Amino acid sequence: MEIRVDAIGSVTVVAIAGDLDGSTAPRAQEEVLALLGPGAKIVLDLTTLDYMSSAGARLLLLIYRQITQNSGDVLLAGLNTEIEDMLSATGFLDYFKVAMTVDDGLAMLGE
Amino acid sequence: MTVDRIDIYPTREYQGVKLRAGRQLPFGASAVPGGVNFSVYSAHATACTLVLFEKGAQEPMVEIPFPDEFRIGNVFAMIVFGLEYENTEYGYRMDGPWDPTNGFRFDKDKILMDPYAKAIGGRDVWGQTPDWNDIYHHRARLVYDDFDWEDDRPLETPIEDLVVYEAHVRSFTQHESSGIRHRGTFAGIREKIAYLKELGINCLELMPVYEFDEFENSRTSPVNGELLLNYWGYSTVGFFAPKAGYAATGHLGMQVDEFKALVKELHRNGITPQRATKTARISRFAGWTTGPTTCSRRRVTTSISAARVTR
Repeated sequence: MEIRVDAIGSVTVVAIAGDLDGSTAPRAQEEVLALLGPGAKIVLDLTTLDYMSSAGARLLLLIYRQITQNSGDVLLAGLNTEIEDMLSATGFLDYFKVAMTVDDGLAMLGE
Repeated sequence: MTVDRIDIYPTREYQGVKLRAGRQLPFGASAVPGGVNFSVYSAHATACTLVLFEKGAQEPMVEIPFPDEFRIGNVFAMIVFGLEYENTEYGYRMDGPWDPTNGFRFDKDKILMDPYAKAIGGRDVWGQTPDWNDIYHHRARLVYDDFDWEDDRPLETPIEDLVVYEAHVRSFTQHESSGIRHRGTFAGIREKIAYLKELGINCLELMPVYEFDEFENSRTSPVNGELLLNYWGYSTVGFFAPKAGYAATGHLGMQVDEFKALVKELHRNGITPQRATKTARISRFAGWTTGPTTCSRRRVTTSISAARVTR
């Protein structure tokens, strides 16, 4: 699992690649939560995410809760069909705005 | 803010695995800081061993006998540290008397599933023929117990006001005419909630949704040669575990989240979920039953009753 962070205007794009599961989610949590100040606007770019387990889905919701309680905004971009299916079937997707691409996501967050 | 708990550190080690005495309640496997608390009740077992597998492995990664000090009354309880939560399956070996005349059939050679398991793996996809040589078929798994229910609560609609629709999870949406994405699953029912509301019902009673063995008593159809399965599921393997084969995400081990998401959405739409249960019918794979010889060799205890398990 690799994380790349890019600042584009007022939005932070966090790209997570590889596998997000019980063994990698704790490190991802540490790295992503460190980026979340008050009013943070985050695009989670999952375009190159290959696999997400239950722990990964929980991390997404944790990020959502942290951001929204600090008046920020977050959306998911680039979900592949399999991961989107899993998040949809388990209800996790209900919490998020979803963009097809990072560019679409940036536009949705006003950037 | 408070300082961290001080009772979350190992006190002993077994084959490199760090342990401490567990808490008796709740029964089952529960997350605690740094580890998992395993607690199991047996009135007549003389010894108990926790058997840990890596997910899907044929052989256990370790078998840990409960030290005598970790047993209080009829409860064996132990905290195991450092387990990889999503990648662990567990069961028990219970030792005790073999005296069928008096109802005792303990056999420590068998690995028993935890009667309190909240997730059960090993049969993750409906109708997929299992490996019959597997030494442990229905495998207790660890679950995250942090589903975000938000403000959800039971609707408590008076029983005289219920308009009940009974359905089988698979049959309800399996046909392509259902027009949905996740056919034959808990998620599929969630997709059909608008339809249920249109019907005017306010209660959805689901035929057995807990883990059962669709291959139990399976037979070949004399008409067309097809394998006929235990379709209805009135033969429980684990009362606390949603059936993985009914979940679109069962192959990912996320059937608990999927089922809870369905319950939450039904509540949100004013529909009371009910589940059909027959506690008198229990699968031979349910490790904790009294009952006929076919099931008794896999039991945890001779005295625990179905009524106690389903409280």
